[in-house]
Amino acid sequence: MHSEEIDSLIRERQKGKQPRRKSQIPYALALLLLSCTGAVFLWVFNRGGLIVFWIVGIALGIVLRYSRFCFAAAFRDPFLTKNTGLMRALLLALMVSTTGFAVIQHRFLQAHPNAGYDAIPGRINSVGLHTVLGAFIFGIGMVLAGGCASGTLMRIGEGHALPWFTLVGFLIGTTLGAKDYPFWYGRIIQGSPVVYFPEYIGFGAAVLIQIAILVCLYWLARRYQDKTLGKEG
Amino acid sequence: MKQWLKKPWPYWAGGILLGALNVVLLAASGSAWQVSGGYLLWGSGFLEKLGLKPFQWDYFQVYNTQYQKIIANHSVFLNQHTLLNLGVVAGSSIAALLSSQFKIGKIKGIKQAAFALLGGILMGYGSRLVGGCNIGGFFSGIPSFSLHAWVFWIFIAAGAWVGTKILLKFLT
Amino acid sequence: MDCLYEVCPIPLIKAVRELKKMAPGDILVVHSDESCVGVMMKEWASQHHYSLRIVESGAGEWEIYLQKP
Repeated sequence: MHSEEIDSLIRERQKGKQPRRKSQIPYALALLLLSCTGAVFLWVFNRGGLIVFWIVGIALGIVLRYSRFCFAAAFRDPFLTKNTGLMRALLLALMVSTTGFAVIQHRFLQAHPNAGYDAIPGRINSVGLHTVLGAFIFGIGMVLAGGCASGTLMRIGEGHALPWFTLVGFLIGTTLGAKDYPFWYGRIIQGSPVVYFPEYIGFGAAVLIQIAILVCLYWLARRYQDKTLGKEG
Repeated sequence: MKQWLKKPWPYWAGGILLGALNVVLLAASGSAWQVSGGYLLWGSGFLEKLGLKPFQWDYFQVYNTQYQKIIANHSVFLNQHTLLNLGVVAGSSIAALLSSQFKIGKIKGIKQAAFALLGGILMGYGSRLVGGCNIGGFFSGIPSFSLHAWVFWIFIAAGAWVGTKILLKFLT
Repeated sequence: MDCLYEVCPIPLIKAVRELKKMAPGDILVVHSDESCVGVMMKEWASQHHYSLRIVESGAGEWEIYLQKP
């Protein structure tokens, strides 16, 4: 939707100012070049395939910034603005990665049928009251700080000053958490099971059911938004 | 060209790419995307510099498959986690510069800084309880078919809801 | 309205509050340096039938014009 009045207000407000807009593209190219030099450096000294982490890290950063992807907003916006656009993008991401991880894990398990949970590619943790507690305080912190772990990194890259505080807080919190680990381990974590779905229902079923659930959630999120905000979104 | 570089990508494209990159990372390196593991190593590294012995904490014995090699190599500050995190920072800088939108920010006030710090501490502590942050615990946990990530999902949403309430209250 | 250096989602919350107080036809200008605000406001505006224009007023700074219908 466009409005004549807005256009005229913009013209009026911009009369006084001369447009001073410097292109930052040269700096971008310089930084890109620097990053490539870093990659070459890693390649030459090839310390255990570290170059992969560097390149994928950069790619992740670019995607995060360009798509304005923010995990905090994905969880928060359904409550705040009733907008589920980011949540649905997150669901898409999970569908893609579920498929990919399934292939990788399946191959791995065929080669090493007796592998422990630690060895299976991916992240498989125990589930219990500590998960509930940890996720809950993480959720609160994420909204208060205005960004999650990856959002903090992205904002630092954009040049913001505030996320440095978040980063320092994160370092303090995470180190404290590790220090207190025995306390939680003795009380909760020790007795908590690890639930790895393919172990119970087989690999194919786990993949299919998970994808089906994600698709259902996508559809629900879409409906939720349409219902509360009308069809436009 | 310039306009094209400025235009934000739609959310769904970002989502699909992030999912795909996580798969690429797992396929190429054998470990999925995680963020807070690197933070933990930095924090512990600082404590070690101060003369403490954080790497003797039980935490590192429990998760020794993950951290053993890094600690043994004394590469607490330069390792795969650090590179991945720095890569994200560099990538985001490149993207911001490409669209000529890089800008050094300022702090608006004590309250804002305190919120950021407090939020960081809460996230940090929470991520150790779960064994990963919203990336390692959730974004890489769901596709790993682990129940913990689904529980994480429900309660991070609950936490986000409470956080939003707190934020709305303190704004007025 | 000045929202420089405010983190997401504070600019949007403030803008919505401000817009509630305004009369139809009034225009609100939000000045922000948060990259996600523009995208968020655009979606919000289209869902609530507000007219919106975004002007990049400097490197990493945006002015978002919102008119109440």
